[in-house]
Amino acid sequence: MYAPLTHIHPLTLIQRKRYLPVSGRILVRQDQKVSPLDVVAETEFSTKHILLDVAAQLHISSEEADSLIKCQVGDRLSVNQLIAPARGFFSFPILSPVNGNVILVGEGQVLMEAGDSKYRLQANYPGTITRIFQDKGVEITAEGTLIQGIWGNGQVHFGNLQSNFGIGSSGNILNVDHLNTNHRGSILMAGHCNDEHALKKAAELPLSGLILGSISSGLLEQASNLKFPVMVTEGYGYHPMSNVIFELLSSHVNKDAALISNVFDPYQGTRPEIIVPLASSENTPLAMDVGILSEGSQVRIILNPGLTKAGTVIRILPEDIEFPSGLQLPSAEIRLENGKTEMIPLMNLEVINS
Amino acid sequence: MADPITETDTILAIDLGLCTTRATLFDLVDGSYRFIAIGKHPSTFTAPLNDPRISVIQAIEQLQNKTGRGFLTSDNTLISPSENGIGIDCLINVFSAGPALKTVLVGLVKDGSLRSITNLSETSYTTVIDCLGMGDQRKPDQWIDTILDILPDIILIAGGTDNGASNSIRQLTDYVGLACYLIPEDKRPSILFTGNQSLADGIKESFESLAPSFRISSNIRPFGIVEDLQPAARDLSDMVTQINRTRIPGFEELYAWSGGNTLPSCYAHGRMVRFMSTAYRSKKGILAVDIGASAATISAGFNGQLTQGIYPHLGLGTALSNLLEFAPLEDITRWLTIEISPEFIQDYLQQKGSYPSSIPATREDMVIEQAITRQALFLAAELIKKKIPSKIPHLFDYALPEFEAILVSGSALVNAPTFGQALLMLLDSLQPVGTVTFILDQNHLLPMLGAIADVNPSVPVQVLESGVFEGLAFVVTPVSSARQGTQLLSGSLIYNDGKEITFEVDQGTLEVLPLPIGRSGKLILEPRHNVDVGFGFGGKGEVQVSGTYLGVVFDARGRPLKLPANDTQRREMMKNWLWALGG
Repeated sequence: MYAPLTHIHPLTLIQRKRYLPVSGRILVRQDQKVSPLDVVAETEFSTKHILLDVAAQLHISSEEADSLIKCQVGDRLSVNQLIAPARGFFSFPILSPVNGNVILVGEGQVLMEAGDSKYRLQANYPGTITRIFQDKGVEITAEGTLIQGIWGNGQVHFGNLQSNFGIGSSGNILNVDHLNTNHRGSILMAGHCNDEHALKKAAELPLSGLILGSISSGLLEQASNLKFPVMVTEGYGYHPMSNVIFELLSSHVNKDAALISNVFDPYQGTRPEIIVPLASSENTPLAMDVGILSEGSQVRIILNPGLTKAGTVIRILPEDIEFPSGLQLPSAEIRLENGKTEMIPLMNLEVINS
Repeated sequence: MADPITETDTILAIDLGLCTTRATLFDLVDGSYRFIAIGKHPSTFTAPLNDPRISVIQAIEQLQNKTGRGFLTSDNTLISPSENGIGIDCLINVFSAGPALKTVLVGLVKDGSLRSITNLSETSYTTVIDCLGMGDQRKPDQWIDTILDILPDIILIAGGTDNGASNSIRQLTDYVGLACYLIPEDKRPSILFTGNQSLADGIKESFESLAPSFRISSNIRPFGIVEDLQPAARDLSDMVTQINRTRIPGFEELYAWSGGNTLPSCYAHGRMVRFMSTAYRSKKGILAVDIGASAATISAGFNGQLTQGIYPHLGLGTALSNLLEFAPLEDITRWLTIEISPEFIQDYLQQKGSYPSSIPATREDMVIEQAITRQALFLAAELIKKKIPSKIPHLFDYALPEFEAILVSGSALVNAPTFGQALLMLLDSLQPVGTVTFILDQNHLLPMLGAIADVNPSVPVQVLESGVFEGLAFVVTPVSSARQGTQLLSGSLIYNDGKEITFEVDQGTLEVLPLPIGRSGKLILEPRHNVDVGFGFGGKGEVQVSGTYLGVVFDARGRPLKLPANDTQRREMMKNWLWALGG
């Protein structure tokens, strides 16, 4: 059976496509190495325009206004540069209100594009350009540790991975006292956050990124507005970071990591993810995007009971079983990391590709 | 619309939902169309597969296993036409999966064309990001930048009466045209113009080269106060299909399988409700509610006139992450039967929004799920109330009009652990008045039948006549301002076999009389002078009733339903109501 999928790999090939929102220019070449903040493509797309109705302002017909307009399509105008002279005693000349480009002239009107209209596409991933999609984007292939999460705030950054955990504890709670200037510029990992002051202090330092096992839902709006990436690996409410993620991240403390905190979108398949670049090897397998639920699958539970716990599918039950909710559902027997077994509905399992 | 197909003996209907894909077989049995069987599979619209074809094939394979008939070749090609019981003659698709379309509305005045264009947008899977109108304080260049910022999938434009003033709407369309011109070709929105028809030719000339898909539909407000959404709603539904053909991988192939017979589920849902409201020949209307992962859909039909509301923000899938923007947490917690912390509910909404296909397995999660369902349906009912024309007779201004039947679909309702839980969710959220039969559409057949009507109109008629739906309950709601405990109503139920039971109903209670499926009877209702059961205050009456899962239910809890402010009292009361319906 097909199931939702998350990736947790100690070492894998990661291929990601990066596209411009509209066609533009590719700035990198095939096989070029890039780091997350490098610009790989750019395009012109302004969403700030000024429409000057010369005819209306001068109280004249559009034909007359067209004959007075001094600029042409493609002209670069400076602020206060003349667009059309005054007409008679009771009007003022029309001047450019901004620095910008003239993009349309006609029917007594002038449309200007204001400010910098350049859109720059960052690589976001540390890796090598492996494909170029003409005018549209690139494929970047990275190699290293890949861990995906469940929630991200849409930011991206690169920094040194630091731990905020007590030794051996995957469920610590981040608070203000845990944060100090030593963490400035680093990507910090912690078990859980339910304190708005801790997030505020993290912003003041600032951190380069924050990886949490879980977060209180009440803090999501604040976390969404932070200028550095925040990624949640397990879920909402108090849940310790899963052992497999905790141990993997702990093994990379003091290494550089890229935190690409994409917003989780089930339609697009985008998820927040952290990549720790590692030395390349010839036989590194590619992280495949297919989640098949079967006996032996590594899984994570995505709704109670056992929410966020990881385990292995022992068997898929031949008959539906009844749960305390009163529903009879197709289910699987799962051996959890602590050795206990639980019956879980198939629809409440996410395959961990590792 | 595709050419009608006349040879349609064996019909396969595919329903592409966000969580579930269904493959349903309809065929001729003794000269009449029947629902034969259904195959289901979790949908594969979303990541990691992002390809609806996979779940369609799986659902068809399950249907093959159930029926012992073959519909696919070994390389998953459809066998068509059918021969000797193998293959199909016709395939239709309905779909609700896929993100709602980012939509910008353009109209003239708030209470005129802008309201109508909003109503039009609510006939399909759209999310309105912005409205531009003459009363808007923004300057034209800000309008243009707004459209560029949003990069909408579709822009709906209305305004002006036919052959009326045209300058204002012409000016608005000029700004929209300018914005479209500035958007790169591959990102330009589809445009639907449904305003002053005297401008149609000029607007067509302006937009045809600017929009990937451009349509002119008849004016939704041809004479000022008159609103006529139906032609534009059909055009919008076609445009939604068209947009999904280009943006959802694999959708185009399914569209081709259907020979173009693909409709948004909500449109087909509305079509069936409109048809049934004519076929029932009742003074009352027909209501259908479908609360799924993609949207809450409510269709109300009154003698062939349809009022519809499609609310993606009230769907029980990805929209749950943002539900609290539309429903304060207290409005959800008021429906809980056990104590659960607000934080736990917030966390649940986020988790379920991330994994829309997950299913409540614990008692707490089920209680939350049902509270969310109640509130989403309650909000959808409040929205549709405002849209139902005032000329439709209402027993009470604050309530929905009286309906002959309310058809119910959506997993949270039809797959509720007990029929009592399903009915209580419906009574709490819709709060019907008078008498009404609740009917379960357990296989989500209504939209499929609505789409099949395009290729063979006799199929839905014959399938409905075959009794494909089961009754959940016949509900009588005595409305009165009498004090709690006051007797409101007495009467008797005379079963077809001659047995008779008498009853009395008191204010504040929920009572059940057994009348199982397969049996029927005559219900004699004798309300007190200050009580209305749909025949006017004190009006007595008789009703023929057919058996349903729960029988005859008297909901004398009051309208509008008032819940105790005290949490403990309220939870106890809700548990008692549930017990009254069998738990």
